[in-house]
Amino acid sequence: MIHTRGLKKRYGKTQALNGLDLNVEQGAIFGFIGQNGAGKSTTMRILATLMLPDEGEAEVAGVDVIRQPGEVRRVVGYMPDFFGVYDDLTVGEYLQFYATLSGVKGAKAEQLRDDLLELVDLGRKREDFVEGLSRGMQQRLCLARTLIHDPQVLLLDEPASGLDPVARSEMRDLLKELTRMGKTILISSHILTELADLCTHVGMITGGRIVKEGTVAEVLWASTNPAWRMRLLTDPGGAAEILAGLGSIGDISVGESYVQFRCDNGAEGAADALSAVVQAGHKVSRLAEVESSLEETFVKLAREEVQV
Amino acid sequence: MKRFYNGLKLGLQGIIAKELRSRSRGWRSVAMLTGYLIALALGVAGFLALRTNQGDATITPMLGIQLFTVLALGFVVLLALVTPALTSGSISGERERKTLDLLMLTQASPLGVIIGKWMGSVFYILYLLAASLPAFAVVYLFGGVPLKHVGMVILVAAVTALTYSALGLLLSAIFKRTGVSSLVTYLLVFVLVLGLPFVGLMQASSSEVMMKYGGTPRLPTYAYASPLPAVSSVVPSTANQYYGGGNIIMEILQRGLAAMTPTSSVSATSFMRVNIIAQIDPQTGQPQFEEALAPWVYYFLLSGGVAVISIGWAALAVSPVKPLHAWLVRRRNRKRPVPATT
Repeated sequence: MIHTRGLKKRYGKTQALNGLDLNVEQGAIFGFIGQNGAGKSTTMRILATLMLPDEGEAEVAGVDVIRQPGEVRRVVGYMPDFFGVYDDLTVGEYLQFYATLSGVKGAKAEQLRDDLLELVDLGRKREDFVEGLSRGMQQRLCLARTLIHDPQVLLLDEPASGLDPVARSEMRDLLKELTRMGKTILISSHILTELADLCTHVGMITGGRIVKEGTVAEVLWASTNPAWRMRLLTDPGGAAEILAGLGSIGDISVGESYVQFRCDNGAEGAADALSAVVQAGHKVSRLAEVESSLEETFVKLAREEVQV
Repeated sequence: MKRFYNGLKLGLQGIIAKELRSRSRGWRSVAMLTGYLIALALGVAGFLALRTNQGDATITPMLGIQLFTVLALGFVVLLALVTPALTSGSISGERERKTLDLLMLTQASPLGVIIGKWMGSVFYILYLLAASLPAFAVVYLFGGVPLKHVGMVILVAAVTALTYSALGLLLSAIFKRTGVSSLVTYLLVFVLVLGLPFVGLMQASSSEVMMKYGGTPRLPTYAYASPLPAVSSVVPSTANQYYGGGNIIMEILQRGLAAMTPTSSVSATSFMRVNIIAQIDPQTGQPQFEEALAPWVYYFLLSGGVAVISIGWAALAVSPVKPLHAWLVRRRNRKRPVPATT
C-alpha cells in the first residue's frame, strides 16, 4: 500500500533521509520508530505530498507521490505531530469546512460529520467552540478531520503525543477501530510500548534509513540476542562464577535468587550453561528467555548504528 | 482542466464561507469598521471646519466639489491603509496556527485557497465601501458633483482595495511571520501611494514642458501605479481650481492634487482619454499635443497586473509541491540506476 525506494532528503547540511526504502502492506498498522530527527516526520510529509524528496520514489495505493500529488491526497489522511485548529469555529463547523474543501457535499457531508463525531466520541460537543476542547479532544477532532474524505491510508505522526494516559488509551482504541474498518495506518510514536500493542508491523529508522522492518515478533526476534534468566534454589553468586568461566557467556548479573546472562550461540549456549551449573551441584528451578521490549530493541539498534 | 476548475471551486466555496463566518465573529471586525467610519467622519468634519474657519463662513458653489475631492482622496488612502490589514496575516496566520498544511492536503487547489482568502476579504471591503456611502451623501447637501464622478471614485477605491489586499496576501504567503508580512506590506503601500507619485513628480518637474509652460507634464508611467493620480483624474476638473484660501493644509492639498493631474498642460478629450503635450516643436517653440489614456486607466491596468501577479505568485508560494522542483526530482530519478527488485 505504501512503497518508497531510495528516498533522500537534505535540509542544508543535515541528511534527513538517506535512501529510505519502506514497504507497508494493505491493512497493516505499521509502527514507525525512530529517534528525534531520524526522518520519520520527513517521510510522512513526503508521503502526504507536503514535501518533495530530493531523490527517490514513493507510491501510496499505487499512486506516484511526485507525479500525482492530487490523486494521493484523495487516498491519504494525514495527521501531523503539531497541528492547529480554528478557534472561532465550532466542532461541527470545523469538520464541515474540511468536508467542503475535500469535495464532500450536502446531506452526505452532514451524515459523515455526525458519524465521525460519534466515532471519536465528540458527538455531544458538536456546537462547542474548538478552543474550548481539551488537548485529547482536539487530537480526536483532528483524527476525525483526517477521515473526512474516507481515505484508505492514514499517516499519523505522533498522534498520542501530549495526551494523558486516559486520552492515550482512548486514542489507541480508536486506532484499533479504524483498522477494523480496513484502513492501512502508518503511525509514529515515541511511546514504543503502545506501538508494540497496537502495530502489526514495525520499521526502525535511524540516520534516515530503515534499519529493521517486519512484524513485531520478527523484529524482536531477529534484532536481539535475548537474555536468559536462571532461577536457583542455591547460591546464585556461585552459579555466576561458574558461568563466568564459560567462554560463550557474558553480560552476567546476579539477583536475589537468580542469575541473568547472554549467550553468544543462543539456546544451545543456554543449555550448555544449565548443564555446567547443574553439574557443579546447584539446584536450578527454572531457565527462561527474558522477553525483549520494542524499546530495548530500538535502543540496541540505535547504538549499533552509532558504532557503525 | 476539470481538476483545475474543481480545485478552484472547492477552495472558493470552503474558504469564502469560513472567512465570512470568522469575520462575523469576535470584536476585530466591529472595531475595524468603527475605526474606519470614525476616521472618515472626522475627515469630512475636519474639512468643513477648516473651510469655514477662514474668516469667510459663506458656502460657495465650489464647496460640494471641494468636499468631494477631499473625501475621495481620504477615502482611497484610508482603504489603502485598511485593506492590507485584512490580508497581511491571512496565510502567515495559517502557517503560525499550523493549519496551512491541513488546507494544502485537501482537494482545494492552492490557487483556490488563495482566491478564496482574497474574496473573503473582498466581501468585507465591499461591506466597508457600502458603509462609506453615507459620507458621500453629505456631498449632495452642497451639490455640484455628477453621479458619474462618485461612481468613478468608488471604482478607484475598489480597485485600490482589491490590489492592496492581493499584495497583502502575497506578502503573507512569502513571509512566515505575520508581523514581518504586515510591516513589509505597509512599507510597500507607503511607497506605492506616496513614494511613486513623489518620485514621478520630481522627475517630471525637470522637463522642458514644465520649464517653459509652468504646467505639469505627463508623469512617468510608474507614477500612475499610485491611486492618487487616478483619484485626481476622476474628480470634477473644477476641483483643481485654487482654493487654498490662506490655509496651509488646504493649500498643500490643492497644489499636490493639481500636480497629479496635468491640468495646465493637458485637456480631457473624453472620460478615458486626454490630450497631452508630447514635446515642444523646435521650429516654432509651440507645444505638440498627442492623445493619451487618462491616469485612472493606467492605474486600473497597472493595478490589475499587480493583483493578478500577486495572486498567482501567492498560490505558487503556498503550494507544497512546486512544479519546477517536482520536474527536477523526476529528472534526477530517471538518471538513477534502477534498484534490484526484492
